[in-house]
Amino acid sequence: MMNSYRRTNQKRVPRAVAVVVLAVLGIFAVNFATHQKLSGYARSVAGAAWSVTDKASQSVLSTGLLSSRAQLAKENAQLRSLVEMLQENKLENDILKDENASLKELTNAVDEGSQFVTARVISNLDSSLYDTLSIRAGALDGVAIGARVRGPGGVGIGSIISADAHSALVQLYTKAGEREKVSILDAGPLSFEGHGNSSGSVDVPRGLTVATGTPVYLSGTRTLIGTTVHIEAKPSDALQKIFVLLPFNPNSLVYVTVEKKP
Amino acid sequence: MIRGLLTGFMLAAGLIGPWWLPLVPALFLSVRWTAYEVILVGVFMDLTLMPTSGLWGIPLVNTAVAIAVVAVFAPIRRQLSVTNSSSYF
Repeated sequence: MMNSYRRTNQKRVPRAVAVVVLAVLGIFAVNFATHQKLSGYARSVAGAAWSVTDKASQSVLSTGLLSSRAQLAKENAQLRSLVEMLQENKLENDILKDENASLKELTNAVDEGSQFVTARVISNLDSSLYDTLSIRAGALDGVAIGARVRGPGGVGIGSIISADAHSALVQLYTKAGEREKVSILDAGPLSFEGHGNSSGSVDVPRGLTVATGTPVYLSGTRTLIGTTVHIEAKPSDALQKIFVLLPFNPNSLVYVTVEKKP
Repeated sequence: MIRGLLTGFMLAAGLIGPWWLPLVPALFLSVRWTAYEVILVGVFMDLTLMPTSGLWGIPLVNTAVAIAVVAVFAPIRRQLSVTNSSSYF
């Protein structure tokens, strides 16, 4: 009796795979040759999709359809206290601005404008295998490759690895396998290695006494990149491994600040 | 129609969902069709989000996984297919 399904033994596998692989490599070669122009186009298409999703989720959340009355009342109270706090902050900032302006006048300092660009995070960190974030600020806003990116409280989260006209790609310091020079308790530079999931580790000499909760800074700066959460020391090792965690969840980032190109 | 919906879902999942979510429609597509669109979405995700250093030094992870999914399911589909497809891809 014959089988109802057909079986073929054609050996065209290697050629077909080779053609597809060559085509794909060709795309990335063109991308490389054009200084990541294709990446720029892809990011602008993705950016449009991210914007639509962002607006849709914001409008759904703002209608309160998914919230109970008690939740809305609680949120309302929280927002009121936030408004009061921000009003106080604004008053303080106005006073500081005036003071700053008068000091600049006294010292004849030239106003160079802000050194930072505030940018909205448009991509979802979970979607990226590579721990990268897309932000809505690009070369036209003064963002350049290599610029440091900071999150809430000025905590360093990564650096710009690609910048188009209106968007840029941020690589987190905690990306798996990523290395960065850091300092702990003024000892350094030490090599920080990212492990993914907003964590990383540093190997430090056993002689250095480090407690959990110790801040870890980018080498040569006072930019915090995390705090120590666990220390692993074996009597047989000359080095102890210190595990570092970002003080917030980078998935919740909405805005970041980027150092402007000088 | 179903193919288009699955492709749309895969693309949307790739952009806004966790990294593993596009694998679900990719598997469905690859089992039923010679799904070049899976490879295209993999390439698109790498163009959009991949740093030059890749992941642990390995570049094009999304693209490689997409090609692997399509390549692994193609012979299985051909073995079981009752349609008139004679080529591998």
